[in-house]
Amino acid sequence: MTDQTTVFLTIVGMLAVTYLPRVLPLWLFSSRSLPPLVIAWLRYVPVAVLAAMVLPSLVLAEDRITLGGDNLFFWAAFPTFIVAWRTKSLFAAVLVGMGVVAGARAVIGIG
Amino acid sequence: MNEIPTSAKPAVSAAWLRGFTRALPIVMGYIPIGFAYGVLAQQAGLSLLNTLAMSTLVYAGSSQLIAAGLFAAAAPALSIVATTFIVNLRHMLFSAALSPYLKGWRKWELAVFAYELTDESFALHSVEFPRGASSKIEAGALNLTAQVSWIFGTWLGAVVGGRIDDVRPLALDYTLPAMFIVLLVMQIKRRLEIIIAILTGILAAALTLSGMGQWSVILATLVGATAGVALEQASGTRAKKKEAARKQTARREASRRRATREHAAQTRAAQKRAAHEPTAQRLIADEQAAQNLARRSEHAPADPKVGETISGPTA
Repeated sequence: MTDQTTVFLTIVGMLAVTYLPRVLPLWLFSSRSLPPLVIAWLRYVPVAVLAAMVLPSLVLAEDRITLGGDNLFFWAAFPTFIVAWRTKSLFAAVLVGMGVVAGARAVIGIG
Repeated sequence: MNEIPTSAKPAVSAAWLRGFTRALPIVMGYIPIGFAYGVLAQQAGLSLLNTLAMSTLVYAGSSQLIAAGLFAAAAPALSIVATTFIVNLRHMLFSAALSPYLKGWRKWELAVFAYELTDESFALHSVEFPRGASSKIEAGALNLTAQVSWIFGTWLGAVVGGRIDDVRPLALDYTLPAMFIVLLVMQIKRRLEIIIAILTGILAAALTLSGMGQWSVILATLVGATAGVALEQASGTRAKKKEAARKQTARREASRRRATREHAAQTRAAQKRAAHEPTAQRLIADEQAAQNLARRSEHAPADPKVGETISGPTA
């Protein structure tokens, strides 16, 4: 390829299909009062969607469950989790997680 | 900016600063990932302008990385757009989930906010909005900081590309996974939410393993949130019943206690009366005696002893 105009038009198409799901629910729902059951349902979405993104990224590698010693992201999740639980500090927990990963790579040379 | 009164300016810049600061964990993750996208997009043959245009117009990490791969494989435009649609459909859930917190916002403000709604900004907002602490400006500053860092990372990758290729010694590739872990922890306030998180996570992993690919996050979330409401309703009914039972027991207990108390009071009163009884009886007796005396004294002159007898016990 690569005809840059086609690329640009494709990007515009990508913009449309990405932006509509981002904006439509906000436009439709934020201006009206939703039934309590829907509100209750929406309140579970953040927990559910974060868990659905986090857990597979920690336990799966190349479409396989990998919980071995070389799955550094999985093991580093524990200190990150504990610091997050105790301190409720985003920065502290993220830095601890990164420190564990960086340290393990430097010292043991895994991951 | 002209309509903002002078007195509001410090508050406005403080909100900007807060939004900027809160975006920093995202920035640490976005620069290396944007960098990776920039390198890939260049290798796929995109011009610098188009590489940056995608980060500016689409602004959705995983779909951009996938699109770079598809451009490299010379996939047809329509299939690139269709793939992007599926990969980014989960934003609908983010948008819907935040809508109850953005009631007072104008349409155009929502439009701007939605434009920069990503996994990461959603994760931060979904913790912050329920606390009621985040203003429009703060939310906007957070979003803008994140996207600028994404575009900057893209530019860095596209321009200096091959020269820096390893972010692993600094563990920058762990910034966003760590951030998601922390924000998930911050979301959890009740036992039921722990159950839902574990359930949904396992379901998403299982769906991914069974080849559901990009659908697994959306499907797992739909099931997980529905399970959450169902369990909440069920336990709510149970809790209501339990509460009613508890109240009834409490009422019975209270009335039993009241009865005991009243009984005790009555006993005490009875005892007290019993203790006073002799006095009372004496009083009555004295009164009768006095009356008798008085009756007698109608015929006789006043007896000084009578006054003494009467006043004695009363004093």
